[in-house]
Amino acid sequence: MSTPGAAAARPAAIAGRAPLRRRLAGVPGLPAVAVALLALVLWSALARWGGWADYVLPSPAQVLAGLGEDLASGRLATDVVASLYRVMLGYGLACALGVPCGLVLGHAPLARAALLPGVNFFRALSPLAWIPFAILWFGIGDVPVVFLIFMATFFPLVLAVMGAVANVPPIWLRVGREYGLRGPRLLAHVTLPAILPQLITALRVTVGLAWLVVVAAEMVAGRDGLGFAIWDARNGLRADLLVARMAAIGTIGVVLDALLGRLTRLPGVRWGHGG
Amino acid sequence: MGAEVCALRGIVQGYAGLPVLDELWLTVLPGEFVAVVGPSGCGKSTLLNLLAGFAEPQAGELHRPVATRMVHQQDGLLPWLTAAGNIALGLGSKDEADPRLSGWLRLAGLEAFAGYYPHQLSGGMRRRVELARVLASPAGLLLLDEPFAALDWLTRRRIHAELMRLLALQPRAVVLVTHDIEEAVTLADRVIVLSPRPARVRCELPLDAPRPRPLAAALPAMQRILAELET
Repeated sequence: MSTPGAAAARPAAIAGRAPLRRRLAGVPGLPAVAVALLALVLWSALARWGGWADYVLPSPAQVLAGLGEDLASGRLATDVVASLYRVMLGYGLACALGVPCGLVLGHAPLARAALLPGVNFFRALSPLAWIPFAILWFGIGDVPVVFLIFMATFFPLVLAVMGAVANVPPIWLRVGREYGLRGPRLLAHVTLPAILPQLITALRVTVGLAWLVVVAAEMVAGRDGLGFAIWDARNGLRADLLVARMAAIGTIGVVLDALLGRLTRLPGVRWGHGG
Repeated sequence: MGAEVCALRGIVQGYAGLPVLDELWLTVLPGEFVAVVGPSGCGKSTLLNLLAGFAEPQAGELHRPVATRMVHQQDGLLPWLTAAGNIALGLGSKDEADPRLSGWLRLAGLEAFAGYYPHQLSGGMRRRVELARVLASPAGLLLLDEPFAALDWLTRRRIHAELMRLLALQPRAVVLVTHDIEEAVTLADRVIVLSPRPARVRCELPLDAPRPRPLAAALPAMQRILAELET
């Protein structure tokens, strides 16, 4: 510091600090892991010295033990499979019907004029409002949950596909027609690839919605599944199991989104996701 | 008279009471390059839409080939197809291993970029892909709707040379609509000057010097067109 180049030493010091911060940020996952560890330490401290009962705030160690118990008994695996199965059915049905419906509404002004207000109404209606009817009509089990997932995801999908079709630049359709594509071939070779980037975004949003709804639906209309398991843990005052199951739900939601997110990197859709 | 690729005889066209074309006469011969210039909004795009078969004239006689291909002012490449895929569309084939395809990629100087998507190519390259796409198609008449307007001057010059080279290899009748009079007089065999709307043919200038022709050889024609447009 006392060298003649005091002015020269300052930039060196700054240059010495900044790269360290940048080096840390450059390690993949390191900032996130650091924050998670900090949160874990804080949570442990609160659980240990906060004075709350175990059933109000379990410690990380208790949750880990609960998770081990749930894994060993096979309960967690059964619940995960049950929930994923219902999402697959309800969401699969919503995709299989919603995407074609959106394509029709996007192309046919008359159908749009007739059906759009209805679609908008049901999209704005919380799917949870259907719970009483779901149970009255379908009882308790798979079917009411599948029904609720369908009601939650079908209408947003229809609207997203319809909007995407309406936004296809006319020049692409015109080029398609100039090169002899008509009717179903125009749909398959121009409209569908043109909406694919937006369709993938819509699928990501709605699969997240399906995963939210399955938990709520199973709480009231299921006899197993992660949603039921949450309620079950609460009834047994097993907050350790409750948190372990919450962690499972969140993790699976993140994985589902990441899986669909990979689709945006397919060569034929990267143009629509910022290259 | 059956030799022409397309013919408009006394075509009248308008929209909602607004007359756009007023008794327009125009014929294009096989292999001929016709440039159409005129004041803004004079009905050049209406003319191209008629030739492309996107509209029917209200009066007059229109002969056009069944198959025409257009290069639009906007980017008309399909972004989910590679350069090769877009050119394959012109060949009417979905087979990216089609031997004709590699020939076209070579002709257009795009061999190294066959697998590139449009968003990965420069503006000039995207235009080259589009030109290769229309030229690869069997269409007898190519319609170019100000296809080079968005390019910088130097790229435009290069694409002009490229187009001339490709047309020499694969002769085709061309109608080019443009605002760029320099472009019209250096590329075309014949320049049609339209009047302000409703458009009629104001004058027609044949250009005899062989293509590609230096601007110097076309300067007198350019001066005449400017004089016509400015009066």
